[in-house]
Amino acid sequence: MKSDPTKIKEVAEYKHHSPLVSCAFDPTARFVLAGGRDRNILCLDVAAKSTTELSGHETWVGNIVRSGTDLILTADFAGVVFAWDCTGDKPRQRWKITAHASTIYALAASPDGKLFATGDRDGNIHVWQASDGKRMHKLRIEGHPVYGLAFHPDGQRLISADRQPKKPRLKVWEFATGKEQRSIDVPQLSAYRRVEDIEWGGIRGITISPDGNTLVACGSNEYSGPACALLFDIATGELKLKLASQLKGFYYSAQFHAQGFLLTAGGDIGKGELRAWDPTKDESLATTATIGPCTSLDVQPSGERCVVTQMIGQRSYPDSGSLTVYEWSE
Amino acid sequence: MAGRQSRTAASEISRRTWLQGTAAALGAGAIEQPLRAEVSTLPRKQLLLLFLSGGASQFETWDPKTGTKTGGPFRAISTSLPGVQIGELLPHTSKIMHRLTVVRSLNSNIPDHFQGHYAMQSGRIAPGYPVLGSAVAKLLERSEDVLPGYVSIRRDGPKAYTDVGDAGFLGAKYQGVRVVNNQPPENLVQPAAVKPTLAETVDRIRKSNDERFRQGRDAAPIDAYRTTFEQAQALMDRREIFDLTKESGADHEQYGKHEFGQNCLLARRLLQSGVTCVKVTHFDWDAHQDNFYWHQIRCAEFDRTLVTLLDDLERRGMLEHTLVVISGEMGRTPQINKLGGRDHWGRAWSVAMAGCGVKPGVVYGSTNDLGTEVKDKPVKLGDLFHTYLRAVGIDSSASYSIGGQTNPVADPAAKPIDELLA
Repeated sequence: MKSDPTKIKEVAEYKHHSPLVSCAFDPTARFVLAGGRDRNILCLDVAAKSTTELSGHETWVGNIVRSGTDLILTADFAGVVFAWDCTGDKPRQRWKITAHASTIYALAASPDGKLFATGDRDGNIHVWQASDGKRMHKLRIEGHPVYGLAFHPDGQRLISADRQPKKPRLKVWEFATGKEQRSIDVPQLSAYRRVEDIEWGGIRGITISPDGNTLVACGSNEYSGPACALLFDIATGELKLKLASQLKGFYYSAQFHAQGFLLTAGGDIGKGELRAWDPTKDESLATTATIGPCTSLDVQPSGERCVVTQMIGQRSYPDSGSLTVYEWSE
Repeated sequence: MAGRQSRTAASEISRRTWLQGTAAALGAGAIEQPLRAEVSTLPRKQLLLLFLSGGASQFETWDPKTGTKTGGPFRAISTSLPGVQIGELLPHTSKIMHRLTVVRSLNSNIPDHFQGHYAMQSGRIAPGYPVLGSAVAKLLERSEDVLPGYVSIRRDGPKAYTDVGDAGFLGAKYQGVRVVNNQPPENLVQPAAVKPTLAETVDRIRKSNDERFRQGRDAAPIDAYRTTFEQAQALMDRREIFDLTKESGADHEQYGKHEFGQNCLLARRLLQSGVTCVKVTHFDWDAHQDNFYWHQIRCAEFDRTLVTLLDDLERRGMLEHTLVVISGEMGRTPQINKLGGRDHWGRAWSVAMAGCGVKPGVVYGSTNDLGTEVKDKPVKLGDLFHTYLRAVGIDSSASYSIGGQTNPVADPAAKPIDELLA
């Protein structure tokens, strides 16, 4: 079915008792898992329109992705990754590994479902076998946390985003050999403030187009700028396009829809947006306003729906979350 | 208690001698009441202030609330004090908790950098009072001291809200020497063109002019001017105390090769050389965004360096006469903000101490389950100031007499926390 980005509509919203920052459909799209500032994971049964909670993590769950044909992976602030088997009537733990000694800030699954990658606070990137959580490769970015990971569709390369102050970087790796193929500085997404000597910005999420040619880096356009997504040519490292919101804040997440348009999720407290773009030009196709900043999004594998997580709260302090399901319909 | 010891003949003489020397040195800055009840021949008391500028989070350090809505993602870990836990970002510190004194029930009620910096260091809200380093430098001063009594080690930050108030009415002598970016003060080496005979002649003329100028005038500015010369000369004579290359590679490694580690190593050298009070500022705790990431980075530096420093001071026999105070200007909000940060919070937070004059292994006061309010044994910032002074043997109920006006050394509305004092 063709999805018209201008005909997006909200079909369901599920409240959660803590702010949510990551979500994913399982490979069969029966479940959606969402996590955030809580040790429990919100589990939505899409067909039954009911939610439960999954326990196991001992601390916040910052990253969730689907993997292969039957798994969802969840990663937490203590460096632990869980693989949830989604073939039954509810997701069940298949394995659990302590993947890092520090917080996992980035998690990605390979397109073929055989591998996944994790990145931590200390600049370590590990590539793992999805079937059993066995480590296959190690990469390292000296001294800077890894805030984004994405496998290239060619199955050979892994893209990382790190949080180098003033010049957050994208790196293209041949992960099997550990060779760094390209490094791209992204100063536009820095929000370095000399007053506190703290890098407030950074790349908050990355994604790659299905054809493997375009890399998207999400963040904020400098300190007080709007939420922003930058599109790079992976082959040359050249910046091709800058997509900027009217909202201050961050784009936290982006995904290409199979029909070619790009979705971005972001915002600031008390206001957020899910937006569709034409990735060949600086043209917004449709914008859906939300009451809280959209902290992540995932598109259903078939492309009919997407889910978005939000942080909801008064003033600057979100104290709850929501998981919203959208559908593109004729 | 040190400040309440019975007065022996020796101490009276010592005190009188000390007061005479001090009064001569200070001119207008006289002491109205005896401040110390100790014999000055005892090892001198010193103070090291580790100032966590920007405001460290009590949740991620001394007062974790794991598993609660306000607690953040990190776990609490057990410590060397049975039944006491601290944040998992301080694994080294957890092993020496039995040597620390932690106050978990501070309500300073100041959520502002500038006010907090001043108030936490002066023990007062009202402006114009000397900060801890200046006050202690004066109150523990001995007539034989030549080096500056107060040295503040910091970076050349663009927003220097760590330097607030300073000596207040104590004047320039106690303002403190700033060591910036781990570099010694400038011009410690006499220019080659200035021969010793010329320097001596200039110095003699200066002293002669000073003596003539002070006749019939207020002597205080001249004395401060003279003291500055003497301290500068002492620093020139002993400039090797700033030379960190004299420390072993192992010490550099243990302290940490980052700014804070090297500054703490320098602080130990300065204390060892006889400086009365040293302040080391550890910057960038103001984590309004990504609090948990920044506290991982900050705590990793702080944790190992603190333990190395305390071990080093103890091994050298310095900790028994050096009070180490660990404080910032505020705590951080229980609520976690939209950007994963914690904002400014002064209503319920923590400070820590170790060493001279305080009871080790004490965790004083507590906050409620969410850490939003003090639950018991509330402490005011003025109470801490009294406590610091008493720990280094100063009678905090004494007064300064400056320019004919009397000013209490510490806020009379506050009091020392006896349960913390050794």
